[in-house]
Amino acid sequence: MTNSSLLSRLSGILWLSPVAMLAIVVASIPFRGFDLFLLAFPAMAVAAAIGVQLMVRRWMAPLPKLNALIAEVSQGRFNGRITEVSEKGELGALCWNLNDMLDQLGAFFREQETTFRCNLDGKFYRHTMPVGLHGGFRKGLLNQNTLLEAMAGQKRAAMYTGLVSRTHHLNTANLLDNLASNQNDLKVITDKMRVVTELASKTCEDAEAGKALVNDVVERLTGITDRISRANETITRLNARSVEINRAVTLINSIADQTNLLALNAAIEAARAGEAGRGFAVVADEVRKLAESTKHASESIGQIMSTLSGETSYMLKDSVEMRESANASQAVIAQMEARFTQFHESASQTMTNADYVHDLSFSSLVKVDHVMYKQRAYVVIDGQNEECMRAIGVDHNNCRLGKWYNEGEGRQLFGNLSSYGALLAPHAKVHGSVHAMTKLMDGPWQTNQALQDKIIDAMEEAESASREVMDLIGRLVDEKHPGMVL
Amino acid sequence: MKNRITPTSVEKVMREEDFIVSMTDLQGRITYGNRIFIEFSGYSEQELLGTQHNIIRHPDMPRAVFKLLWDTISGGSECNAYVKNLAKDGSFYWVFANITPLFDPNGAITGYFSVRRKPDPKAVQTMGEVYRLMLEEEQRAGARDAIAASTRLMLNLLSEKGLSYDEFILAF
Ligand SMILES: Cc1cc2nc3c(=O)[nH]c(=O)nc-3n(C[C@H](O)[C@H](O)[C@H](O)COP(=O)(O)O)c2cc1C
Repeated sequence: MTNSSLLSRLSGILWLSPVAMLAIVVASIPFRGFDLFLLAFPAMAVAAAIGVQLMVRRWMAPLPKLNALIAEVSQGRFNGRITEVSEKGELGALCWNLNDMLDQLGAFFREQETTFRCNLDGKFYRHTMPVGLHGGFRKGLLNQNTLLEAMAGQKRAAMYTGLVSRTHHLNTANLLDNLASNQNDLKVITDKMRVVTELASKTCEDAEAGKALVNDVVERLTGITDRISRANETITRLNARSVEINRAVTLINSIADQTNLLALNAAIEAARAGEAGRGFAVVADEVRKLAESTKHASESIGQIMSTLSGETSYMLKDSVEMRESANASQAVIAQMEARFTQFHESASQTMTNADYVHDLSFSSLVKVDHVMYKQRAYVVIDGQNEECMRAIGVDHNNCRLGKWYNEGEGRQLFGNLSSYGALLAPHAKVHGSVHAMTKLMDGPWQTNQALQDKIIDAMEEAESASREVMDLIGRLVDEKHPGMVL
Repeated sequence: MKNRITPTSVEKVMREEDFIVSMTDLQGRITYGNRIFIEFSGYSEQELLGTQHNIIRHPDMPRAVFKLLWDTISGGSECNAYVKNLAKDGSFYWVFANITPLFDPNGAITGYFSVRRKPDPKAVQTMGEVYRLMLEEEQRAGARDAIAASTRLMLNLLSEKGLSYDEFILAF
């Protein structure tokens, strides 16, 4: 087959008849002579050939286009079409049918490619659109939908597994650190509680000893009181005696006065002499009686004096004993003072330790809150959970730490420490990042890898801020209890 | 392209087994239309070829839809849209259009390819209403702000539903 087109071969055939006719006319000349009229036949044949050739050329015009288009299609390019089809016959129909076929092919491949690409991009809602496609094309697109659905299911599952496994990874690593921190807190709390217990038992011993000392002191003081009341009685008695002595002294005084008077009378009677025999005897008798009274009086004084000396020695003895007692009490009281100082010391140590332990347990509790907050966030990522969702919705002002920080003891007792101020930003960030994560979870993370990365980023941010929070809480406690850091 | 055709309320409904196919160059001039296009538009092939595709633009369509269409396809992506078209005789026909760019072997866009299918009647009802509101918004806003205003309206509607444009359109 040569390259010569159908048209040129047709024209070849067309031109054959005028040429043949001309040959016949020329060949007939020797027999019949030259007849001009005969030339009319080849001339008509030429005209017919030209006319037919022109018409055929017009009819066949689409053929090269068809040829080129089909060659293009065989190269896998479906974008060409045949336009300006004027021919109404079979060739025209052929053109339009070819266009239709290419439209079907084009739409089919476009649908297939677009839906695959959308599926890979996670736009699972983009199914093929078989409306308007025919037969096998239509069936092919319907089958593709089944395939896309399966791919989507797999991708969703893979994305879910991916997210969950990444968050689990993140969680496990951080959870262990968090738990280790709490474990350490609990260890310190246990150690400190042992110290507190020891201090308390020491305090108890001191109190016990103090009690014995107090008993001793009380006993000794009771002895002193006994003696004092005895001395009191003695003094009362001495007082009574001194009244008696007074009376005796008055008696002796009056005796002395009367003796004086008698002596005066005796002097007078002696002056009268002679006649005085009788009177003098009376006076002498009176003097004797006086002497007797004086003797009585001095006897009673002697008696009183001996009782007095008895009482005095008693008192002396008592006072010695009282001094001893008082001395002993003083020693005991000194001991007591030492004991009480120790007691106070242990009690105040107990207090600082207890205070530290309290702060440490609170910080540990806050850390546990924190860990739980994050755990809830991970549960939300794992699958929607209303309760956890609500729990992580709280902001950094309304969680336990936040309330403690803003209104509670936090501001009061820790407000002046440098770690206190530093705590606010990372704490807000933990809540902020988790809230950002929940917002992102509303999005199409099952189809969108970038979104999934953002979710992981948010949680990583929350984890890193949380590490800072944990660290600062620890430092806050250390800062408040500088002596306690082990 | 100025339309001097007066729209009527006569509707032509597409058939399930057909689709309208057309192609344009980069400027939107028609380079090919299939026989269904010729049938529904009412124009001859000669009338269509070389003409702007807005020859079948219906005045009920808001401008923002075509802005979205051109932004999307010139960015290299497919665009799906419900479109009300105007035939030469003034009648209208609703289509669900899928327009994609045509690429040369180097990946450069050489033109656009549109397949218009028989739309879901529910979608036509909904989108007809949406377009009516958008058009009102465009008329209210005035020519200069028309597209921005009706685009905002559409975006509000979508964000209310929490869907992207494609998700919303393809959900019918
Ligand atoms: C491939 C392709 C198909 C299009 N099909 C339609 C159509 O069916 N109806 C329509 O009104 N516009 C269609 N357009 C958009 C028009 O080009 C034009 O933007 C629109 O009619 C609005 O006209 P205007 O830009 O003059 O306002 C199509 C555009 C392209 C590229």
